[in-house]
Amino acid sequence: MEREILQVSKRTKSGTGNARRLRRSQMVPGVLYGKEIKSVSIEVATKPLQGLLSKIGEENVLIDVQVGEDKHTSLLKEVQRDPLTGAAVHIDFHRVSMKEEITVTISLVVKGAEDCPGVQEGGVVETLLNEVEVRCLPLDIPASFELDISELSMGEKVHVSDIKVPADVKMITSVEQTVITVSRPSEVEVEDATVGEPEVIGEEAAEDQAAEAKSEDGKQEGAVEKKEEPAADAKDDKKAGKK
Amino acid sequence: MLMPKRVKYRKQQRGGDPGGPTNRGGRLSFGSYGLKVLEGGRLSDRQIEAARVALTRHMKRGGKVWIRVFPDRPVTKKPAETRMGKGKGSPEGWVAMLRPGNMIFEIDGVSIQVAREAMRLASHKLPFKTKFIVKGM
Repeated sequence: MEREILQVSKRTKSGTGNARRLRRSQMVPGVLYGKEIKSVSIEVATKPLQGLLSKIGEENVLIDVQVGEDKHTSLLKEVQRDPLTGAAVHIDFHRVSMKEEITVTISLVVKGAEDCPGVQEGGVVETLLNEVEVRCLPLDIPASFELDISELSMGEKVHVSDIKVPADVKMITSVEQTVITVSRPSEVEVEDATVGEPEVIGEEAAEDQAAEAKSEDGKQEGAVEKKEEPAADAKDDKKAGKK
Repeated sequence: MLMPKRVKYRKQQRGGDPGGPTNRGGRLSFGSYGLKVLEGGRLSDRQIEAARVALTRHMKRGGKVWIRVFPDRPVTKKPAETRMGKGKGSPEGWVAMLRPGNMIFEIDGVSIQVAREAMRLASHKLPFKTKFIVKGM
């Protein structure tokens, strides 16, 4: 399994204001924690972090986090991102022990979707599970699991039990769960464009409807007033003319 | 068009600013591609339907579409040329209140080129600036 190296430095100041100041100076605040160490607040330069994230995504890649002279083999636990720009605003590293098994989520890669008989018959490949949970030693973490569906017909399914897992990796996700199915595309419903009325719950319904009926009467009165209005104005004009 | 099946009250007060950028409801949860709004405000049932039709037409019924927003808020309107007063107007439609960062649509089962073009066509039916999102990027 490949390893990445990331140089970070200890962060002494905590809090929202300091974190924002850091981000303005092209640094990203973060934290490093694990079983055998005390949590350390860290800061990482934005540019190398972006490079690392674009290279590994958010996959389970072992990273040697260098805090000063100490080196901690860790996994990227969480990346908090800005909701609009997608830029990393905070990062979590989880230090792992090489001798202890850990639970990780592994993504599933689907291959042969275009060649499968089900799709050629007009079916749609529906992915119900994008990742599975496994338990293994950090050095045995698989990058991803490949699923070949080139022989899948319409209505057939692939289950978690069909995934080929190495001997030293234990599957945690239920083996009965469906991963992929090829189904017929759903018909497009033609809906009525008129706005219906939903059912009103409880006592308020009667009161509301009564109020509505009242207001509609009011509107009709308003309309009558409106009709009368020009005539009244015309009279006033005539009076003004006479004067 | 989307609307609630049952409601407690037929009319609601207008409500204020839906708020600033949020991460809630802003991640890809079902599909591989998504359309995210970069502005906040009201999204009507008609706009959602128009965008959905644009999406599915371009995808030619292939793939799968998820609508991540629901118009649960009634909007009322007074009839034309009516004087002020005489109570609140009658319900005219339904809207979803969106905050910047909310994901509106997600799709899967199509190529990235088809997804991008479908989302572009759908975004023209919406009253917001939007962003095309790809899983894992």
